[in-house]
Amino acid sequence: MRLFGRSAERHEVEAYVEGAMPRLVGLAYAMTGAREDAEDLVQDTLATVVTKWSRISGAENIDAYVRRTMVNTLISKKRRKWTTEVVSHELVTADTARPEGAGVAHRVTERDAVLELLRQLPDRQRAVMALRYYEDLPDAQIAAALDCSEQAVRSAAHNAMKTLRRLLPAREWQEVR
Amino acid sequence: MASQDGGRGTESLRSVLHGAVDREQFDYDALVAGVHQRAGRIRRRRAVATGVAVAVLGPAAAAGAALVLPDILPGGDSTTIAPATRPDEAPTTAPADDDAVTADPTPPWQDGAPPLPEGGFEVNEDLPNAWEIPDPRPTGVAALDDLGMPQLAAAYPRTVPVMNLMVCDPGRTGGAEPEAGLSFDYFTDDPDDPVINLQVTGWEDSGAARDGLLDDDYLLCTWSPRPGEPQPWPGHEGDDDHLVFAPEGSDQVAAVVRQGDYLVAVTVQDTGAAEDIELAREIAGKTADNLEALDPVHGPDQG
Repeated sequence: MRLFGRSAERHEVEAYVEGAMPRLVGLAYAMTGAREDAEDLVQDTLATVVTKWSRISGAENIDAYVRRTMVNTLISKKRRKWTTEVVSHELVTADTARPEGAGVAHRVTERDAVLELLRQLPDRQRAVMALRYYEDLPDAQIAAALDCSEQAVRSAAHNAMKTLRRLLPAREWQEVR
Repeated sequence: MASQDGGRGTESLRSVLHGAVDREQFDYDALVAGVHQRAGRIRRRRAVATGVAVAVLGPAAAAGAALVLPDILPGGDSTTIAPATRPDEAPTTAPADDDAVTADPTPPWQDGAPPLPEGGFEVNEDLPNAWEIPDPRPTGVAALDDLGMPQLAAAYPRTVPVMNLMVCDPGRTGGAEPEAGLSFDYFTDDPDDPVINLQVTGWEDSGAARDGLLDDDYLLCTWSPRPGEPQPWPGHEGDDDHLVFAPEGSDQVAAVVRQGDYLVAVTVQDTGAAEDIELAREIAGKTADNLEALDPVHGPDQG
């Protein structure tokens, strides 16, 4: 793999990028709900990290810094695609009359419906949901990543769940497994 | 984290997220390579930006051109913009990317053309903007509407990024300058009215320019006084693209938004600090939103 930065740092930063990539692209996917956006987000985030490695490497918790960078990148990019895509309530609830036990295809469809709804959440709410339910971070660490209070995290999570529950019928919500 | 919310829904959500990620087959090697390519691009852009600044400042200094800051105090002299030598080569501008294609051309905060002084924009034929910036001023903002048309509207690259809180003459030798700029000054003869300055500056690397504001180590213009730590911007906590500066001991506050290749800065001088900050944030935010829509090449954030 090609190396960057001064020789004293390049092995360190390269090792970090390679080691963190699987986990971070997963987090990016949880934050974006779309493969291409996730790949874009994780690459932009880590590119920023690489160019600032001399400052970051001394941080007490590099992962926390990277998470915060990813959240900032997510929010600052204002990825228009997410906000301009319109997924109607009718679309995600249209086939509630399907017979139960429709198998794997049914479950995948329901998962996709939930992902579609996640994509409709505001950036910060989506980031909170990803950090809480994909990274399993406690609220204190989520608050650090978003540079806000734990109360603000709980509020964002509450509002996100309220939106999801309102838009997705209870039966489908519970069948999404 | 079922204990935080309880119920099957949260467990289902966790299952959805992990299941969806597991379903995707990411090419990690390609992603790592992409990271390094983008990091290299960031470094090259920064290097180019520094080179452009030197290219602009060199001929200007040789010709004895001076950067004259506008004096916008009520009752003060009218603004003058010193002649400057045009660089031999106009700086290159960032190419449009896919985001440009998806830009919505309708500005969300502009209903009709905002008012301009008689004669329109002041320009300097010897040093034009590297690209034409659409007028992104918001309409329907009561404080601006009350002030009427701006006393000054200038289209000129040598625009102070944050008016009244930065100095450029003398500035930082070799520091980066905008490639394009619009400047609007609103004031009246009534000392009870606020003074509002709106600056839109276009950069080779707006991210570096924004970082330069935070670190005060990159731009030609430097803070005076030092602004201290950025103040909170509700809804944008931790977002370096939305900054509020309220220097201690100053009667002026500024809100800065990075949007695409631009920095949008609004400085408000009044007496009620809290209202000033809110007003600066509103105008800066709406102007940035309008820019994103009006300039499909330089307005959207680069992917």
